[in-house]
Amino acid sequence: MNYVQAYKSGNFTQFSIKYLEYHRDDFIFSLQKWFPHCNTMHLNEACSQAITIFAENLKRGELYKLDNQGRVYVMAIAKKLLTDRKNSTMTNVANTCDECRKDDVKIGRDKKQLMILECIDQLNPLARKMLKLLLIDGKNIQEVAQVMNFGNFQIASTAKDKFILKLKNLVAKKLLEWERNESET
Amino acid sequence: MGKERKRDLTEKEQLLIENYFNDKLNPAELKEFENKMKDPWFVEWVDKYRQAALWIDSIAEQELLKDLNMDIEELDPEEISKAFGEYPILLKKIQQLLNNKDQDNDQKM
Repeated sequence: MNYVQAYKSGNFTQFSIKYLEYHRDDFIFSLQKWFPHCNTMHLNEACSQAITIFAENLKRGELYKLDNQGRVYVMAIAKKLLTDRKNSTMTNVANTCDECRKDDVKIGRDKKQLMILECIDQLNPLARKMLKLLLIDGKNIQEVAQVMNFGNFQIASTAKDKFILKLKNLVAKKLLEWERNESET
Repeated sequence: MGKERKRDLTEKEQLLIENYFNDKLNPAELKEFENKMKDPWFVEWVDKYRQAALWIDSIAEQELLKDLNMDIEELDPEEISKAFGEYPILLKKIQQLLNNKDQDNDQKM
């Protein structure tokens, strides 16, 4: 049964859960890269919650196009659950993962934001404008493509990937410098 | 003396790391990545890149997740049992999480 057949037969949620559950090992494998200090049990719990949240939203009609986006959503939800300690639904996973992430650089939320903003300001004007619209103003890529007069959505999307890659590298570099300075003082 | 940063990443290396985290490396690239990981300098970069990417992705993905209901407390237990009927371990985990959530709420009251 494919997605369209599942949707028509009304078994879409069950089908999605089956499909996503079938790929659980892939999710855990990917999450392990992002959270290397987190144990498999916690990753599995986050994965279970992410699959449930995804399926429930699917059923409510919040997610109308799935294609191969199911994986993207489940990974994004699981990553959010594991990073967002303040989320009220994450009583168990978040607290434990706080410990699991003890080897990460300890930087406060404000300092993090400042670091990202400083790095955005180091980029070229086009990248700066796009990333401010996306990350600060919270616009989606379609809106950004329109505001910035990109010929089409695909060109904007490719530019976005390129600029975000540069930003991640700049922030990583700043983190290395920050950690080096901390160890010197 | 603090740790010395040998050099910045090349664009190719940046892409290699990004694709590693997003499971987009082909076998040859994966081998290249694994070889590079033998160098502690590269390992350190990968770890900082991971942390930076987690921060930035969490902001970038807000748009993707903004309309989702993330509260599993609101899920209908009957629906959950039905949907997860064939996955007893998963069902048990979800029920456990919901029970823990209920207990937390009881304690707060």
